[in-house]
Amino acid sequence: MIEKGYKLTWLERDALREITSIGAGNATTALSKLMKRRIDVTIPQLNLVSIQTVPEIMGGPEKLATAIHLRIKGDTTGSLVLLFDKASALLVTDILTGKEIGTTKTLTAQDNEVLINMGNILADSCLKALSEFLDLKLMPSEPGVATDMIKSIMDTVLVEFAKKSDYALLLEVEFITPPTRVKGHFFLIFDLATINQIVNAINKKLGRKRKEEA
Amino acid sequence: MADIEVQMAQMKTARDPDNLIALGIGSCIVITFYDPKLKIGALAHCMLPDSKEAEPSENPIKFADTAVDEMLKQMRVKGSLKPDIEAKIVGGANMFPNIKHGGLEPGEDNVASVRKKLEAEGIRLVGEAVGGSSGRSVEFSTVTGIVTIKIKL
Repeated sequence: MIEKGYKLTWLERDALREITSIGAGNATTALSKLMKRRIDVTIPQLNLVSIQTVPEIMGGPEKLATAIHLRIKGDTTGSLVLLFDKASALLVTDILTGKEIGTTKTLTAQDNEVLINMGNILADSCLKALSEFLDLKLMPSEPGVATDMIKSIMDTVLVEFAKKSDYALLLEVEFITPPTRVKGHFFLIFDLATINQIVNAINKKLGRKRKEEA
Repeated sequence: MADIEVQMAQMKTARDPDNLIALGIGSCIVITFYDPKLKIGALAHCMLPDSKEAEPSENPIKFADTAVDEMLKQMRVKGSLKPDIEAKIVGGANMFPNIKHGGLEPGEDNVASVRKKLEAEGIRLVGEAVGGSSGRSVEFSTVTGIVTIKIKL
C-alpha cells in the first residue's frame, strides 16, 4: 500500500515508466499522424510530489503556456495534460490547420477548437492503450484548453487531487518534432490510490505472464 | 525588504517591510489579512472550499474555512485584534471555461465559501479580485496593505 512518505520501489518505478511510455507513445503516434511529422519522445520522468510542489516546468511559474487538460474517469481517477510553451502552441496550430509556419500569432476560439480536437484524439489513443494494457477502464472526459501562466494551470489541475490526498504522481515525457521547434510535455497525473491500483494491475499482468512462461 | 513566497496549501505571516507573494494561482483562492495598526499580514493559498466535504487532511490550509481559522489564530498570536483585521480575496478563476459544469464553476465555490466564512467570523472584506478565467499572481505589501495582482493575457 503506497502511503505518504512512501518511496516507490525500483519495480514500481519501472512499471509506471512503462505505462507512461505506452500512454505517451500512443498519444504521440496519434499526434505524429495528425501533424504528418516525426515526433521524438524522452524517457519518462516520475515525480511523486506533495500537492504543494508544482515542478518548475519549462522555465518558470509565470511563463505563458497552452494546456489541454482532461480528467481520466472510469476505474481510476487522474488527469492527462498536454503542455506547450506559447511558441510551440502557435506552431502546432499552424501545422494542424495547414497554414504556413508563422501565420498564427494568437490563438482564436477556432484554434482552441482545433487543439481540443487534437486533445480528444490523443487522449482516446493513450487511454485506450492503457486500458488494454492494465485491464482497467480509463476513459477521457471532455478536454479543456487554456493559455495562461504555467503555474496557474498546473495548480488548477492539481486541486482535483487535493480532495483525496496530499500527494500526486506526475509522469512526464517531453516530445519534440524535428525539424520544427515544437516542444511539448505530456503528463499523466494520478493520486496514490490510483497508483496502487495501477501497480497492482501491472503486477497481476506480469504474474499472469510469468505463469505462462513456466 | 523580503519577498516571502507562499505555495499551494500554505499560509505565512509577515510584518513591515516584507511582502507576501503567491505566484500563478488558478482556481485556488488567496486570502490576505492585514492589521494596519501593527502592520502585520497573513496570506493563505487555499485549494478547496469546505473541509467537511473532503477526506480529512492534516493541513487545514487546504480548505478555505479552516484556513481562515488558522489565519486568525496566527494574527492573534502576533497581537492583532479581530476588529482591526481587513481581509481581501483573490483568485477562484475558472481556468478551462470551455468545459461546462453543472452548477457552480470551479473556483466559484471557493469564493462563495470564503465569503460565507468571513461573514460568519465578522471579518471585514475590503477588496476582491475573483472569478474570470485568468490565472493571477499576487503580491501583498505589509507596509501599505496593498494587494497587487498580475494577469498575463
